[in-house]
Amino acid sequence: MPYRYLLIIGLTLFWLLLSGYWTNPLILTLGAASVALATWMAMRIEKKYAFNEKGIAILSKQHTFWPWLFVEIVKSNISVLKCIWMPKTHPISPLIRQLKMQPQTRIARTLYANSITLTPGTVSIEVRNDEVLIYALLEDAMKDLEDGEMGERVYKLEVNN
Amino acid sequence: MNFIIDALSWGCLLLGSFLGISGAIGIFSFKEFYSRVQAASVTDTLCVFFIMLGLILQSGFNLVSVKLIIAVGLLWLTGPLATHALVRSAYLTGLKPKLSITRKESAKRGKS
Repeated sequence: MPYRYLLIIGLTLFWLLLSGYWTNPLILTLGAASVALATWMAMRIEKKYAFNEKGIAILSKQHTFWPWLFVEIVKSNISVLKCIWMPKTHPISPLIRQLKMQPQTRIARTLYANSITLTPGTVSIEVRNDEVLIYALLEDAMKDLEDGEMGERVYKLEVNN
Repeated sequence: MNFIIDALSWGCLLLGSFLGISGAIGIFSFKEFYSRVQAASVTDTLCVFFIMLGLILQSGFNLVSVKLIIAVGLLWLTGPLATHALVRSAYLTGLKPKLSITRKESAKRGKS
């Protein structure tokens, strides 16, 4: 169960960085106790919704995805800003469309839908089996999603190679 | 050197505040719920990023800046969840978005 150890290491680092008191034994004990409690609760959830091997593969390849996503966020921010400040020259054209998604596993689909919502201008309204219902402020944003570069990149994360 | 870092940090803070104000103006100038959410997500993403970047440049690299980076990460991970929950519940309870083209026509124009 590598997920359990990953969780313990991550939570410990998180706690140490947030607290900043690294010498007081009482506070360290309390920290260890809270990490143990959080891990126990997470493992109870894990029994029902297993975080399979794919999850770790995806986590270890995040560095290829986030820089690209950041550039996308900056671009779409600029296009939404244009709509806000210059409504005459850049009118909005809202539309809804249902698209197929390429990612297959549950965690990759969650990542994909969250990335769609994170970029301004597009929101994922509903995720069904392999389809996602998207609201877009501009038709160009919808076209970009339909061309599927984001889906392709998330799909590459989940494929083992 | 100090001056350059200060200037960069002030630039980031001003840019962040500008983005926050434009998000607020967008919320008021767009006409209905679904497009207002889009304006709010400008504030959610780059406004937070630039303000935190400015604060990190102010504080130098120490424990405080690590906490600020964690704060940006948490906001970027949980912001989409909140937006999705809002939009989904609005859609399921029957709030119809005002569209420029109908859903059928949009599906026709798409590839699938």
